[in-house]
Amino acid sequence: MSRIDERLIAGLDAAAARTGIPALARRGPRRRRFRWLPAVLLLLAFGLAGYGLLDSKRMWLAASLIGVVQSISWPLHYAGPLRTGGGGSEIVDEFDRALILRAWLAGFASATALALIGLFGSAGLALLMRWSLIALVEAAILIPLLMLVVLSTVPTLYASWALPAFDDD
Amino acid sequence: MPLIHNRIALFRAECGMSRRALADAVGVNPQTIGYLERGDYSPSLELAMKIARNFEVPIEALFSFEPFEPVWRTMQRAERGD
Repeated sequence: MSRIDERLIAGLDAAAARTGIPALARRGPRRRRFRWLPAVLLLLAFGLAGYGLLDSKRMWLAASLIGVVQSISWPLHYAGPLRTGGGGSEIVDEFDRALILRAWLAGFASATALALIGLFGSAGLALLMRWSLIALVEAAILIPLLMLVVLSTVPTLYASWALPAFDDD
Repeated sequence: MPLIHNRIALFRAECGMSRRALADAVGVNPQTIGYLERGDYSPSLELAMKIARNFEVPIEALFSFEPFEPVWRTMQRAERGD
């Protein structure tokens, strides 16, 4: 390799090092916590559901926006503490497995509770407010959408709060 | 689940071993060793046995349901010949 080539490659290496990316790669993967983003998305979805329930004309707008919230929240599984492959942590050890299991249990339990409350709640509201069948069906559409948001956010939320802070030695 | 006390940090310091080295030896993340040392996490029997084997001590020398006696008190007792 000629001296010019060596200097060129060394210059390129130095330019790459100045970006800071090689230093980040050397530090190794870490468990990243998302403590607030899933909570905000969850609150936003429930707020939108309430907004839709207040007026049946706004139901489809609310349902569409909840779908947007869900599509934003789903990638949290691939970036947060539930990430199992490619660098959520260095290896998936027994601590990770136990945390992921508990997080998903919390997610499924929340979704089940929401389904029960949503079904009985919408039936009760339909009786109280004398909704038409169409209005009841529209309200019922919000339940699976909200369940998807709950399944997208609660496991990450649980794992992020359950993951203790850690300092390297 | 009862809290399991451990002396991993003490043994690690005694051996001059980093968290990463111990983690590599027993096949977990360094953060998991940190959680164990701080009592944030109780290990499985398999992990506890691997850690004990790494330090070549019986498992009860590392883990206990009761808090371990401080080192200074053990030394004091040893000096008195109790």
